Amino acid sequence: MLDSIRDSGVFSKAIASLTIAFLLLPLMVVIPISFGTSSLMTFPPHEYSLRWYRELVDDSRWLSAALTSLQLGITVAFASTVLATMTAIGLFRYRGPGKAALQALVLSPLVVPVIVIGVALFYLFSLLGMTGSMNALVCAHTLLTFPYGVVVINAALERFDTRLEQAAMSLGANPFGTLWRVTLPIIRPSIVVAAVFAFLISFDEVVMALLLSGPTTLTIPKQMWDGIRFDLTPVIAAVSTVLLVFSSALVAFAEALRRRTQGNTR
Amino acid sequence: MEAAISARGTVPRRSRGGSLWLLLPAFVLLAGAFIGPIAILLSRSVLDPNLTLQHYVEIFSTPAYVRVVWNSIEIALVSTTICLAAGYPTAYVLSRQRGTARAALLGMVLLPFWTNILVRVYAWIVVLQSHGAINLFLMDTLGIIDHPLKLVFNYTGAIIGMVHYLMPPTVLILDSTMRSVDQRLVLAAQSLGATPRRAFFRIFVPLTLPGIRAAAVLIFIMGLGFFVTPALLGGRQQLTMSMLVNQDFTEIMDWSFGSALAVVLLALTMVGLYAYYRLQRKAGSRAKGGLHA
Amino acid sequence: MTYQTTQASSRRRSATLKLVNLRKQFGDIVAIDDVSLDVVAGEFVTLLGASGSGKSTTLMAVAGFVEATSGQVLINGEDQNLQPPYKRDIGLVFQHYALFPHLSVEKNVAFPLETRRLPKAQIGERVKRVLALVRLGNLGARKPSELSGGQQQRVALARALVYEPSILLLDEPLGALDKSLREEMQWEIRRIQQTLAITTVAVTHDQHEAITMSDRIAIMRNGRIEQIGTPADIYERPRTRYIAEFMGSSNFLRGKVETTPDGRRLRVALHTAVPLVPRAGAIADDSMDLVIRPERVRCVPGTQDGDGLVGAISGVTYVGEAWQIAVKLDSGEVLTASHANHGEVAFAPGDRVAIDLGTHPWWAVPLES
Repeated sequence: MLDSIRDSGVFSKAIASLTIAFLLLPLMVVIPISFGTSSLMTFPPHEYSLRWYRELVDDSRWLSAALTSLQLGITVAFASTVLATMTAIGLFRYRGPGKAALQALVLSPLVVPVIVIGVALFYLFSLLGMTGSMNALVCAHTLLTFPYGVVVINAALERFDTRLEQAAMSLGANPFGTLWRVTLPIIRPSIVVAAVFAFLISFDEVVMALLLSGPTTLTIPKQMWDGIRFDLTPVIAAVSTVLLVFSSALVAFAEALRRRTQGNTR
Repeated sequence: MEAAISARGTVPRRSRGGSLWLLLPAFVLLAGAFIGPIAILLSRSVLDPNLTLQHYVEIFSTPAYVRVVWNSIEIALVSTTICLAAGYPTAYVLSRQRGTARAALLGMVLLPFWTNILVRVYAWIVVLQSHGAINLFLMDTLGIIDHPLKLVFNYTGAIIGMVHYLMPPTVLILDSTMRSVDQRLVLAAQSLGATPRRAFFRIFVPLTLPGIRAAAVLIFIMGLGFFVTPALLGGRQQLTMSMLVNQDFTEIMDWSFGSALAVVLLALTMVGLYAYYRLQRKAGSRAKGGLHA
Repeated sequence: MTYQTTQASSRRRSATLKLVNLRKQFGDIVAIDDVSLDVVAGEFVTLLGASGSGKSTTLMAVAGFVEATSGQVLINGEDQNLQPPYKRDIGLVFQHYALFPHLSVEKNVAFPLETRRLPKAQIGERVKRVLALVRLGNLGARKPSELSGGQQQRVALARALVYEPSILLLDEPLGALDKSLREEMQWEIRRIQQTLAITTVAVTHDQHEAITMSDRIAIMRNGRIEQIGTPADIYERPRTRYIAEFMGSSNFLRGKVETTPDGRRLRVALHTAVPLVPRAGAIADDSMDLVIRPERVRCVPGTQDGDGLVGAISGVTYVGEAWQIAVKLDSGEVLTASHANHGEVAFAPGDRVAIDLGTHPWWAVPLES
């Protein structure tokens, strides 16, 4: 019985393969380019060297951009995850009128085009004299990322057995103790996922970086944007390769962490 | 009812209202950094310095601007169509897999997702440029053409870039819809004499239609707001609304006009969302409301 | 494995529980309808009823998870109305145990002690003692997912007892266990409860469980207590037909009441007069249903005369521990007799039999209105 369901047909498989190839091949091309010698970015490269990586390391702008992006990403991950956890729990517990409207409100930053939020924040920070500051970027990125966290953590809360909270209370734990010692530890995998999401989104974010960053807050995406528009060399390929490895490692780490703590909570 | 009580548990009245304070920070952020600024945006688009609609009039009456608006809509439409056409079979294959095969396939679909958009854009430039991988392959290896094809910094490039970005979400949404279709219905059709192919087209596909509609609208809305991809891969001619907004704010410095454009973009997005909402309502119980995106 | 209890600690542990005119409404639905209950210190009372009878809601009201619409919950005479669940001195064992999956058995049991900030040494010692009491001494390091259903249940019990609450509340404690395990655990729980002399209220729909474990049973229906009494009280002298049917199976023979100088009698079948227990039914009833438990029906190989309750066997069914014999009386009613299985049965369908009701008085219930 199952065979006829599993089999998806030659045609579908062909399209699927082409689509997946379409999705992956460009990324695969970037890696060899970064190890090439020619500044023409030909593929496949004729010779191999570490020339572009050396240029990358020598260029202090990339290093400072990396530090800025890391600092920003970690701050955003923290702020966004705390905010998302509080909001998800608050929404989950709330049983009053207008719950659907509140949920829609919390998710609305996800559906509004980033450019619109970007220019709106541009106005705000201009009025406050904060354009180009780290705080402005943290604020903008937190706004963009915390709804994702809310979705992820809410999914975990729906799977969570609320009788465990009742049990804790019947044993004498007050609402805060219950939250801290029972609820949060059990939904921890989803919190980790939310934090990694927030970090990655912040790390890769372009639009806000273009509108809100200043000389002291240049992020990697901003550097790359300038590079692609004005100074297109395989150094970008080197940066891309590093980023590919970095994000893949981070995602793999988060997934491993999630699976490990998931085992604890069944 | 007793089961409902012991399953969900009623929290004593004292702490039910207490959960609202948890929502306070989020609302402060949303009010201050989202609703507020957008209100400022709205106001700046009509106050310049006095109440006026001149910017909106200009947008809709100047052919150049109308073309920009139309261009945004058009490339979003084309990208969505291609994504659905190629994404549906892909999602179907994915939805039939279990265990490690599924994890592997899912990983491949999601890898671009984890990748920085600029990395993806750069990768396409490398592949599509005149001495890039594709052209070299066609010219030197296969020898089919003499001159390189112009594949990037134009309409083609923009579409390719956007499809590449929009494909993973399309596949994920369709996969989710497909997995919620009760397979036994397809089996029932076959038991009644339908060939697998007929069962697929007459039973399975129609059951996924609400998901297709939802995906179409969501992907379209995403594509409408696109900025980075058409800006870098579309060349000077492919202007989208968001690109123009960006220019107004960072280069041309016409903030009021840029605000009006942004508002038009926002309005179009809202229309799309409303359409999505109505479609979901029509689909009825299929839709899962609230925080299931 | 001895668990020392001193007089003083018994007194501290076992409290009295009193429900006074408790009422709970959810919108239009009345879940608890004027329930009053007096539980003596150290007593084991079971709330017995079908689902929807209000028994679980009542338990949750005692625990504090359901706020009463009106009425009072008094523990040792103190009104618990303003006390949230975490401030009430109760121990609650949930139907599916609600063990914390991310903590080991030891940490689960230690949880309430840590919440009360006891010193670590004391916590360790008390956890060990209570795990020994429930006979799980060597499984402390395991996680709940690594335990069987019966073991999880003991952990839940240990966790609810380790901080010596005044009242123990059990929500369908044996519902999730296999039948054989259930019987073993019935005795276990009762043993532990009596050792600790802790006041206990249990909720169940299983009358066998209630009869085995309780000092008293309160039958609940539609949010009200229909009858409270010892298991024997309720089984032998049910106040209504519903209760008679709920507590095990029963035959009912309708008859007319006759009052004689020696007491009342019920005339059943065609003309058999059966003496009634004086308290059965109300004085003014003129028709009642005689309650005849299957195990009390004695079939005697038949006489042909139409005197007394006579009829023919219509079916014989083997159910392992007994033979169930269906007798169709000449007067039309069908009685089911349950003869303990001593080997072969002497009856076959078609045989003529008489029902021997003896000379003692029988119980009867009023007609259901």
